[in-house]
Amino acid sequence: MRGSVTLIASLLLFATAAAVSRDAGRAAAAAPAAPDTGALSRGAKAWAENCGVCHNLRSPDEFGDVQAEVAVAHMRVRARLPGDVARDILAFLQASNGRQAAAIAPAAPPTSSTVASAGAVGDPVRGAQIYQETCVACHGPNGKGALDGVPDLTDPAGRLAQADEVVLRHMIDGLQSPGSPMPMPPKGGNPDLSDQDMRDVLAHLRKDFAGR
Amino acid sequence: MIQAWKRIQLRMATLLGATLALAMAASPVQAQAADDPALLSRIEEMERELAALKAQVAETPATPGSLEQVQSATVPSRPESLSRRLTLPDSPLSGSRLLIAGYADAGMTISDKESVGGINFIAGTFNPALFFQYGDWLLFESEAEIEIAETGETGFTLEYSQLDLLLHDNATLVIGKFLSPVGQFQERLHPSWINRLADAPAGFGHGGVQPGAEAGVQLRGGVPLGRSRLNYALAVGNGPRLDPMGEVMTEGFGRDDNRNKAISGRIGFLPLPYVELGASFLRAKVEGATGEAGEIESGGLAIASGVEGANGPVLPAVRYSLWGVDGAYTRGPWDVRFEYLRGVRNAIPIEDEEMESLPRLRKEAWYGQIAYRLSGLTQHRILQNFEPAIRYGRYQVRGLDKLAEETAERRLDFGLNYWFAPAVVLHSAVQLRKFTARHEDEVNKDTRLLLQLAYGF
Ligand code: HEC
Ligand code: HEC
Repeated sequence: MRGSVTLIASLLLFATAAAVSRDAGRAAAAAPAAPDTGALSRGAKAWAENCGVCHNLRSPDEFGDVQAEVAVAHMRVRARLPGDVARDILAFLQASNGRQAAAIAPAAPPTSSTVASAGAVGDPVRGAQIYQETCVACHGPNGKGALDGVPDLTDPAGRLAQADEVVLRHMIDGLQSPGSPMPMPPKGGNPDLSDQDMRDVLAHLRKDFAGR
Repeated sequence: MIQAWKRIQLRMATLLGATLALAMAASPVQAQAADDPALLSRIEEMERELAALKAQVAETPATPGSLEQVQSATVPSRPESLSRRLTLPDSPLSGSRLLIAGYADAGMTISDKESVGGINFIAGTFNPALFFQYGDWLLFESEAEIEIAETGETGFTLEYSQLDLLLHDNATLVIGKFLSPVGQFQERLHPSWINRLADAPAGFGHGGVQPGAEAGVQLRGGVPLGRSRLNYALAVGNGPRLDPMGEVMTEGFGRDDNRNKAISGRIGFLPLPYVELGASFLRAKVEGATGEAGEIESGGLAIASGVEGANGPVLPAVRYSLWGVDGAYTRGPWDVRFEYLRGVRNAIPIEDEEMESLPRLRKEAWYGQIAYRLSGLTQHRILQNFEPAIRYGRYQVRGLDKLAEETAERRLDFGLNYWFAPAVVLHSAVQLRKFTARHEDEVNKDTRLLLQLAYGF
């Protein structure tokens, strides 16, 4: 009896101390900044590594921003994830659910219509830079895939054997082949990237990875 | 740029409003309206305006990317501002964010023994869950389990109802009724859209050795250790109770029946993201009271706590202690798990001429399971959604014959799952059961086919 009272008391004491230190830390940090590319690619990796160990990975565009926030809070508790990992994952999910455009401007034309004119050429040097920032977390430095479930882009008979329009559409709109253990988020989960950026990355993939 | 876009939006809204008003005004008098020159010229004007707007929209690069840039230029913290925008300002939930989720399933079993059931449809369960989040530090989560019993009644259980205080990156304080953190099946795998087979392993469902829930407080969290990670959960709660047979029940009781709190927890270690090893424990005391044998519904032993009729002298509290280990390997298409739990309730001495003391009760259960998604082998549109699964497990009970006869079993499952979506699955399995504590003249073996469609939402 005495033992459990002590235990409960110390749990609560610890919790209070934790809360106080959290608030202190919060005050020290300046106003929260918009999620940087670092958070997004850390988030993509953390999502791929953590969110499929109990159940299948659920598609990142399944939830709007609000539901994603609550679901991640729930999973942070259920899966006992450290808070910073959960925040990165949330940044990634909110960035890759493709809902922002719809929420702000219902009249905006669908992105894929712009893709149809895939004729424009890409710049592989810019593309390589973008790849290093956004895609490398999942696809790996050599394009062979850094995580399970990510296809090998260097396979000559693989994904890059498809036509530019097809690959580009999948890069821009995202792709989850049924049964694939993991989806490809739209624009790799970074909504700041433009369609032209995607053309640049594709040029880089074709030049530096295809068939190596 | 922002201004331009806002202006366009505003004008579109005005235009839309005007059209609507016009339509409403015009509809009852359509015949006249058609040749009203003023109206016609107004419509023409609007058509021109619309065409101009369309052209303007086409010029504005309105891809999500550019909108995103526009937006991040104006608001510093995107996630927060977005959530605020999407929360209804005047709703009773204002300030709170809501998620409705849960799961449901239905199916059937076909047994080769008529006496064990023959062909049965299983209404399955409906588990709605509600989650409310306030700020970034408070989450309320609750899930109900609504089930149709064999007798036709609807059973309603509050699976969990808990307040989570996200106090620190590495510590969350949980209060309320929560799923037991002991082991991995109950807390992580039991929802049917997550489970790789159509039912719980022997000894891990209701009436098994796996604790179900606890009412109390819990501290839990994860701590990074370089590339690996440690996670922990430590709970103090009302603890288990005895049922009239002397069996230990761990359903998370709303009131403590004795003055001993139960302590339970689990520690998990992930050397790699897809490997986890865990160890769990529970320590509690249970105490019963004797009563008039006839008055206690089970008709068996008159020992119980908190049961009507158990008004005799209180029996000495005895220790119930449980420990277990579990492991998981979940790389790529593989899902490999094992779990072992052992619970021991000490003997209960009864000083009464009419009743015997209760011997030590030991419950022990384990299973090992392997599932493999064919997407690891093939890209075929249909084939890759299949997942063969196999599980072997055993539940043993010593010291309580009645319970042993009902539940002790050895079970082998051969399953084949089909995944329609990440959280929609059709389970099918052939299950071979051997009830190890039943007599030869009873049905002590059967082979069943289980089918279940499960949907997590
Ligand atoms: C420790 C195991 C575990 C891990 C790891 C895990 N989940 Fe879950 N998840 C569950 C369980 C169990 C449920 C079902 C909860 C219930 O119905 O009570 C669930 C439910 C969900 C749901 C349904 C909505 C809800 O909140 O119940 C979503 C979405 C989800 N998880 C996403 C994620 C994401 C994203 C991650 C990575 C941050 C993740 N999960 C990691 C166990 C886990
Ligand atoms: C979160 C991890 C992740 C990130 C980040 C990511 N990808 Fe992918 N990518 C995947 C997965 C998984 C697939 C396979 C999806 C499938 O087939 O279901 C894929 C598929 C692809 C494909 C093949 C598409 C096809 O038509 O089959 C290309 C090309 C590709 N990604 C390019 C990129 C580029 C470029 C980026 C960065 C802008 C990027 N990916 C970022 C996970 C990721």
